[in-house]
Amino acid sequence: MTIQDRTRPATPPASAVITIEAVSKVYPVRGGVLKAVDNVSLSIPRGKTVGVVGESGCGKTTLSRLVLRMEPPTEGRVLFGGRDVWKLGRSERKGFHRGVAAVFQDPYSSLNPRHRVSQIVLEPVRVNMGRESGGLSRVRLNDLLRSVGLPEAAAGLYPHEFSGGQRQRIAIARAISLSPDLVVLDEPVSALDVSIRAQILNLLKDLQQQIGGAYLFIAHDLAAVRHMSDEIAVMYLGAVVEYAPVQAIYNAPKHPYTQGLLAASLPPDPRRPNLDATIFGEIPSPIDPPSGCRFRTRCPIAVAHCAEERPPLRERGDGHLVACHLAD
Amino acid sequence: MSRAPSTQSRHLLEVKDLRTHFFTRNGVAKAVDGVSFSLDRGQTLGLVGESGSGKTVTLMSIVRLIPKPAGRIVSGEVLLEGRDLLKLSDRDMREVRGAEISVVTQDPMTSLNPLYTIGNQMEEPLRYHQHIRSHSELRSHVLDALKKVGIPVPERRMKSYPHQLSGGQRQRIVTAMAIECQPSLLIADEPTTALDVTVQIQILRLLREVQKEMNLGMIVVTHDLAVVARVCDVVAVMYAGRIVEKAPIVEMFEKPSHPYTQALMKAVEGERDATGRLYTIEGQPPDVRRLSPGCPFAPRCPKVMDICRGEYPPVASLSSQHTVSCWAAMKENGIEHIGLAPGVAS
Amino acid sequence: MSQEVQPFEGAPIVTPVEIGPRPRFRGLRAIRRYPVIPLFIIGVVVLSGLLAPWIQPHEPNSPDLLASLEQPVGFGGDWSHPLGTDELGRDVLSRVISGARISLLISLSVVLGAGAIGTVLALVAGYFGGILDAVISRITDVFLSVPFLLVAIAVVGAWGASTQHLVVVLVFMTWSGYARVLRGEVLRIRNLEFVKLARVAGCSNGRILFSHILPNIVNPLVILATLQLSAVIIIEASLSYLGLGVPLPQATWGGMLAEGKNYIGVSNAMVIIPGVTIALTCLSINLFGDWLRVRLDPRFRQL
Repeated sequence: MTIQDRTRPATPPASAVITIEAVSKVYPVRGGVLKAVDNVSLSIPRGKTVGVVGESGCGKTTLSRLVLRMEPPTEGRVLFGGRDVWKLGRSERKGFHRGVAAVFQDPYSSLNPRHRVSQIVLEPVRVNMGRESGGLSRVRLNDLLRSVGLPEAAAGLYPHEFSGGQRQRIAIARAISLSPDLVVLDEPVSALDVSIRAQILNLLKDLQQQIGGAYLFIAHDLAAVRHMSDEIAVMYLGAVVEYAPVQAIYNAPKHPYTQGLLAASLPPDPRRPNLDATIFGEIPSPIDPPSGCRFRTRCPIAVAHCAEERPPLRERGDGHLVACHLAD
Repeated sequence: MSRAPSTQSRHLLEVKDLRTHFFTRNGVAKAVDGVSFSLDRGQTLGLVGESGSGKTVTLMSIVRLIPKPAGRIVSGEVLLEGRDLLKLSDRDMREVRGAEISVVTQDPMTSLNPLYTIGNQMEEPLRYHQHIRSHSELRSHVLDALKKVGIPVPERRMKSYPHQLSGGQRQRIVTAMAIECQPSLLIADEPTTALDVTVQIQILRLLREVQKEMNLGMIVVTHDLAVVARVCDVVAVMYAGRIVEKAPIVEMFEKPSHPYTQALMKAVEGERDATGRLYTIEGQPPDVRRLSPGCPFAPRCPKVMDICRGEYPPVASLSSQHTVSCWAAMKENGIEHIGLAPGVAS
Repeated sequence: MSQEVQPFEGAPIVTPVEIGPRPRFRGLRAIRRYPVIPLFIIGVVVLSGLLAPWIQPHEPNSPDLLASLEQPVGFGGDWSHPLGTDELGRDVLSRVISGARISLLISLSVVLGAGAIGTVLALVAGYFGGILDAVISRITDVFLSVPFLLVAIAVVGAWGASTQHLVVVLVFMTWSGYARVLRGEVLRIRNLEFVKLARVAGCSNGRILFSHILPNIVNPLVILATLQLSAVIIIEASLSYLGLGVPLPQATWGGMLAEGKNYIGVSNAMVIIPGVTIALTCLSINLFGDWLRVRLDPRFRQL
């Protein structure tokens, strides 16, 4: 499948598919404001994957909504192919929808129960390509189904006739139907059985090699993103606390939160049950976050200074950004 | 456990050849089909399996909360300290639930009633099961239980409503409710699945501590081997309604013998092949409404042999406490097929 | 696309056809599985309504004073008037059949009209939300709280009794039920992932509404409409009984009941026959609706 280059404005080579520039999202709530995403910047080049990891309330899902243009950011810009996604003209917006797709966590509510697989998979093609798609549809459909490992006969069936893993394959076939430049993967394997997860992760990786698109991979623990990601952003209470290439995150995590997350997602070993959590308590309310460093209330190494000044996200060595006063 | 029923001291819980089937319009689903195991006080058993493996139905059969009329316990015995729970009247069973067996479920939000304070809800089982009437006594029991599960300022928490608590706090409250009537058996169904990873460890640690301190028998049902590795003494792996392998925890991780267990271990450890692809178990879990006579794992099994497709393997002992149901594992370990009926060896 | 991804094996795709043996439509099991008796009664009523002009043994509205107040067969009557005659000598069976036609005509038009209005408003309110939702929901609330009988009396008083007026009043008074229930359903579905994914794919609002949301509220709509059908039959009968419904001499079940009440003790059949007809029809529709509710709800589908 080739990428339709005409759908995208000309950009210099090696430039990012998607760039998030100092984006914040604030929601008004009773008793104040909720800063769901707080000054996050990242960019994903073609063919690369950035993993965003964090627990509930860290803002990762809001970030995905901002990237998917489902909500405008309060501050900052989201650039797709170098253009602000909220300043696109009508035809450019079409280009955006052609170039961006998503796979969500829940394989059950992700597929319209009243549509056949063929309708589900080809909907992006029908909606965005109009008459151009016409004759190609049938061939395209079979290609897509085959590439996600489903038999052609699946086309005529309804979602309820498939298991969770197979449904996720259908959702993936739909996502790649226009060979998108960016796929947002929001916990695509979290709801699946252990024995199915690896199948789906391998599939996603293979497809990325074929399509060459960028992936934004969102997960709640470090185990799932490891295999997929080139770089990982760890988020806590709306902000990125550590950003580094995947090896650096796994081999030398610098932020105490990342270290705690990593300890929690190590492969199990019954001889060292490791029940000594390094991170205590639970995430504080994002409506009333702690002063200074947001993580200090749960941090095993916090000092007085952490409550006074918020650590900026600073580079400490080769592309390794950390927001911690105490990281060497 | 070697078989010497007459001399051996009685187990806390003994499940013998339990079969629970669901009679649906689309056929009979043999959700649990011949499960046997035993559990002693102070011991934690992990029941591991994927969705549809029958692990939760096994639990629900033990406490007799199978949705009727579709679900029915077709046969088997569930002996709690020698008494067959399946033969009790509904009324007696209600006495057993909550008093002798208590349950911690996956979602702490739905297991607490949003309309009552924590204190109110926690007093209820004490009134019902322990017949405590005095207010001060109820209060002190509840405070004790809350302290035990590490709730800070329990006096204040008693007056809180569930929605005012975080997920981890709620799971602590649910655990406190589960242990306040001094049960002998604690059943935890995916106790940490709904929680954040950093909170999961805290809850697992709590369960482990409570279980040790009160010398409870505990069954943890989960799909997550990491949970099992952290809290269990013995693991039973379920597939398509049966236990396919059972062993003490360390032995299970060091020497998994059933190909399914082996595959799960590799999957959990994120093992990759030479080309960098993750190790996978191909195919899908079977539909328990249509099982063929052979081993249900055969279509996905890398070690499948002819016999696997025709006949379900018997339970074979690899060591005193390590059993497996697999023709390939028997062959590898030099065990002859001696026609043991399934479920005979525990 | 390369063929590197291995086709996916060992996973028989379950088609509904191969699932289990189909139940045999026979005997007690069939009666338990399908609402056989209600369906039979509904079938008889619908057929009478459709074929009324051809199957009614007599002209339902033409009096024959020589044959007035005859009893049904078995109570002293003869087969020329199987269910007897009324005070003007009109054949009761013919009037029941003719009444079925008018009852069905009215209730179906009302259900179609009210269902259409309610569904459209529910889609708009639930999907777009905001001020539109607030306005539509308040109007719905107002309509749900208007005493409907008084409105009916007022309208008939102002415009005079006619079948058209009756239908308009009934539509006007019953759409709010659909709007209320379906709006909640639309809200729920709007927040499901597949709707978000449709937006990501660039689907227009119209496409999302009609291709994604509408097909998913058909089940509650059908259930609601079925149950409303019997409610409307009863309301129509009540209004006709009060003289506010279909104008005389057109035979209606409610009108027959009203005429019959003057002859209780003389010819009880004149009350019992239309009364039982109304009761049986509505009971059957309700039982059928309940069965449909269980049948269409996916949570029950397995059991």
